[in-house]
Parts: sequence; C-alpha cells; structure tokens
Amino acid sequence: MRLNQLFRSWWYIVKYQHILRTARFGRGCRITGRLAISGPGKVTFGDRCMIEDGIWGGEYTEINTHHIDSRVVIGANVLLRGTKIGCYQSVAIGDGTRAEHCFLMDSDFHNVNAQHRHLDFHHNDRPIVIEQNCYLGYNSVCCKGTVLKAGAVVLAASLLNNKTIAPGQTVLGCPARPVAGLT
Amino acid sequence: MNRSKIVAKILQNPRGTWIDAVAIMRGHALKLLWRFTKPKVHIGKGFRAYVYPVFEGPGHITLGDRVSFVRNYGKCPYFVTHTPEARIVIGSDGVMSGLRISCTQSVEIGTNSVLANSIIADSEKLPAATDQSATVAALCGTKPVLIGSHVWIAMNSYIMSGTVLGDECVVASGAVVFGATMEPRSLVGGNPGRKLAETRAP
Repeated sequence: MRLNQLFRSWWYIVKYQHILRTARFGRGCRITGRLAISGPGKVTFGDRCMIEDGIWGGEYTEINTHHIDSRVVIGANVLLRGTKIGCYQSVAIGDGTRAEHCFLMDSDFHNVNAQHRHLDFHHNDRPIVIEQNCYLGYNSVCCKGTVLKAGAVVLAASLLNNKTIAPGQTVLGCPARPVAGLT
Repeated sequence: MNRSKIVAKILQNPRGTWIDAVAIMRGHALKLLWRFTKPKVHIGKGFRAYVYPVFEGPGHITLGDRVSFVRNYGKCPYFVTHTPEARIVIGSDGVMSGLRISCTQSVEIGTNSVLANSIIADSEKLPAATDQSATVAALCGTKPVLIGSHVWIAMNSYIMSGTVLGDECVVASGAVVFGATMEPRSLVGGNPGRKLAETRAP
C-alpha cells in the first residue's frame, strides 16, 4: 500500500467512524479512492474491505442513507469500485462480493403518478440482499427487492428490479435475463 | 407560508436550509458570470445550483423559472450543443441531477420534469468540427427530441434522436428509447424501450 493510500484510509475511518459516527469499519480496510457517506442512517463495513474509484475516473463510491433506520451492511473482503448505494430500508452485501461502478437503490425515491411525485413513495420499498462472492458489472442497476444468491454474476449495464437470481447464475440485459452458455 | 412556519422549518432542518441558501447564492453568481461569458445561456428566476453544471458549445440553452441542478451520485449536469442553431429548452420547475444532453438541432423538455442522470441525444452521430452547419443534420441523422411536462426520467436511461414523450410519461431506469413516440401517461422501459404500463390517471 502506498503512503498516501494509507493516509487516506486512516482519514476516512477517522472521519466517518469517529467524527461523524455514520459508519463502522472492520480491521484492515483499504480505501484508495474517494468515499462519500451521507444521511442519517448507519453503514457497517466488514474486515479487509477495499474501496476504490471507478475505472473511468470520477466515479467515486457514494452511500446515501435516507432514513434514521436505514442500514447498509457490507461484509468482509468486499471490493467496491465506485459503487453508488441509495438506501431507505436496508442494503446487505455478503462476503467476497465485487461491485464495479453500479447503482443499488432499495426505493424508487419518486412516485410514478405525477400528481404525488414527491409525496408518498416509500410504500413499495423492499430491501436489497446480495450474498457471498457475487459480481456486479459496470453501470448495472439493482432496484428495490433484488436478491442475488451466492456466486451470482450481473454483467455490465443490466437492470434488476424485484428479482431473485439463482446461485451462480449469470444475467445480462434490460431487464436482466439469464445468459445461456455461461456458468 | 407565514413567518413562524418558516422559522419552524429552518429549526427542523438547519443544515438543509443552509445548503438551499448556498445553492440559491451559487445560482445567482453563476447567472451573473454567464451573462458575460456565455451570452446564449438564458436562465429564469429562482435558479438553484446545488452542483456546478457544465454548458459547452455555440448553441442556445434556455432554462425556465425555478430550475434546480441537484447533487446525485457524482455526475454533474453536462449540456453540449454542437451547432450555432442548436437549442436546448427546459421548462420551469425542472429538477435535474447529472443529466447529460448532446444537442445538434433541438431538445425541448416541458415543465415540472424530474430528470436523473441519464443521456439525451438528438443525433445518432456527433458532428466533426470541420462539418458545415447546414449539412450536419443530414450527416448525423438528427431528429429533434420533444419531451412533455411532468415527465420523470430515471437514472441510466438513454433517450436518442426523434423521441417524443407525452405528458406525465415515466422512463424506467436503464431504458433505451430510440426514436419512439410515446403517448401521454405511459411507463416506458426496457431495451429497446416500449410501453410497459400506464401511470395512474389524475
């Protein structure tokens, strides 16, 4: 680890764990990119998490919690490479998952009806659960109610909404469908 | 709203009030700056800039009253015009976050729109700098994009040349709408974008 990366890890852990008290970090977290955590909820990182910038630059990891009870739980050995998380209820990421620059949102944050667009829009929320050793590709979107079982792979630019993906399955597309010939 | 209600609102969320005040001041400052540096950018009253937008190119950009550029997931609003005749028109009360517009002819968006970080482009290809502006439309497959009012465009969606969206349309996240005409109050999604459902009638 380079010295400035060590300093950056130390600074983000001091900032979010001890000053702002919004996040808790496990042992040996490596934060080499920018990290922004905002909102009233709580974020938990497991041991040896790696947080980096996105591969095309300017895509930093961002976690927004929108309610005092919203929880983001991230397991051990997780790699977040510019992942954006918007959380109203709960987002759980299992051990060993790798996520590129992708979007995880457990709420729509707007109403479909134009008359009540900014009013009651939280009645359809469902938590996002991502189990161990999953992979989330570049620019993919996981909307509310997504469940990825262990080892599932979401390829780039696919969209998941309220779906459960079987263990070890590979999905692609908008909306995401299983890819034949890949396991 | 009377004075006691305003004071109660400020006490309820002091940090949010401060952020709003900074956004309004930043909007005034940017308008003052662009009056001298970008004469083809016209912005109405009550402009709020929670992030710095980027306006590039020789075309006209017109924003209505009470438009706000809000922070969302890292990208700034990025409006590019490629020809001097290009026009980007956005109606009043729009909320934009990370919207990227590439315009060679015209992109028009109605009032009360909610636009997340998506891409709107009104040409299939981008013109080269050496192209004559009279022939750009034929070279690049340009068709104007027309979007009605009360439209919500969700994140990561692409709206390409020739798209016409009616009033109160909703474009789902990740949708790719390529030159389709959607009737009012339809929910558009998928790749290629098609009508999935009807949003509830008022």
